[in-house]
Amino acid sequence: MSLQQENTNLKPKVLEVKNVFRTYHHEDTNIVVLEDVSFDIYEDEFVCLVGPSGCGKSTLLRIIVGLDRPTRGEVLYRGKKVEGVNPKTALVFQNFALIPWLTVWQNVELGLEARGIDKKERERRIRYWLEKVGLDGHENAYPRELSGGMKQRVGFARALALEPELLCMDEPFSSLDPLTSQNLREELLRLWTGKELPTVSILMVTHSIEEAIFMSDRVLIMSTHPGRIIRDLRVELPRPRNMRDEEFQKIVDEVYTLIV
Amino acid sequence: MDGEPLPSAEVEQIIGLLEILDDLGGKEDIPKLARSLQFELDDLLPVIRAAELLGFVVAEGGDIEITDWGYQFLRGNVQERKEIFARAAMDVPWMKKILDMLKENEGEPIPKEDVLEAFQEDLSEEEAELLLHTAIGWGRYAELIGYDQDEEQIFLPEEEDSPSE
Repeated sequence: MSLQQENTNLKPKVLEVKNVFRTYHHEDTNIVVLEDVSFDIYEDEFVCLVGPSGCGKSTLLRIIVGLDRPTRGEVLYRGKKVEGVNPKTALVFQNFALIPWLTVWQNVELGLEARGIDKKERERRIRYWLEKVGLDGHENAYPRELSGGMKQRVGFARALALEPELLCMDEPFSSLDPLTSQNLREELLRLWTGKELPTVSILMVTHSIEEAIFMSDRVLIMSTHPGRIIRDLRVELPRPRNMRDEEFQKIVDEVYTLIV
Repeated sequence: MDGEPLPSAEVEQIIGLLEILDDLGGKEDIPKLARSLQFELDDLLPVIRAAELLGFVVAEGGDIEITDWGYQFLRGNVQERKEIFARAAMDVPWMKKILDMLKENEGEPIPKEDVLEAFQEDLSEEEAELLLHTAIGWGRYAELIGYDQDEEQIFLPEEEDSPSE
């Protein structure tokens, strides 16, 4: 069987999410967005968080990178508690989050400047990562000139130029058409399996079980209201995977059976 | 000029199409492909036409199949793909037209307006705009041409591209 439920990973832990709760107050009631979420991410793992909209998966991602705080519980990075934005992480957004009046080059540079990286090193990294994601030739383009796929390439370059150890992605392919998203998924996987990323682990949020099984080594499935992790599944399918072959579809069916 | 307008297809869509066809064993029925992608036939056809124009696929009798050249492109790494795409796009009439205009101008940048005007000998204003948009997208990816939005100029990229700041 290609799906296993026990975790037998002996590699060092990168991230530990420990009993995380996140609640909001709204008109005298407490809305529980995340309830007692715990999991670890190990080195060399590509992990997907899957769940329907409203399950709190994006909130969880924001807590992990340090843009939000848990109401209870904690997040440890390499054993140390995350307080404030974690510089070892970088985030890729669903809607690209590019600044319209800056060029491709300047959009990538902004995050590097914010982290105090000097000009020479900034230039080296920008040039390197624009080339890696296939954006050389687009340095002086503005976001409005670019297709959705090109915009998300900028999103990847901007995140990767920060050389994050843990790359976090929030539905990075879901605002792209099916052909474009297929292309970007495969290109990202090529970089990942070819060990060309500066990254030791990836955490991706998606609402698509197929996408999660295609991309990742481990799929964490969340329920909604409140958001909890209900399954932690290991995907043993060898790479490169083919979403359109029988074996792949069998695993997709297995996962659906487990969660329905 | 000879040749139909460039079908308005983005580079990513062309590559995505080839990757999906590859997953399907290299060949598929076009309507079936559109259905399985939940993609309108109207949206899929320009991508197929573009891939065909570049020589990456052949479409015949409702089927589409990857060519050897298409496989060569698909198997390349990011840079090899760009080079193969450049070789294929160079021969597409409209791209050739832009490259010839740049050559006639001794490699100096040309105003976007001049290219649009040249295109409008054969096309409506709207078609010319759309065509130029696609050509710039392909040209940038293939590093055949560059475009400066501030100056509204098309230029030949330098070998080692230096950023504008």
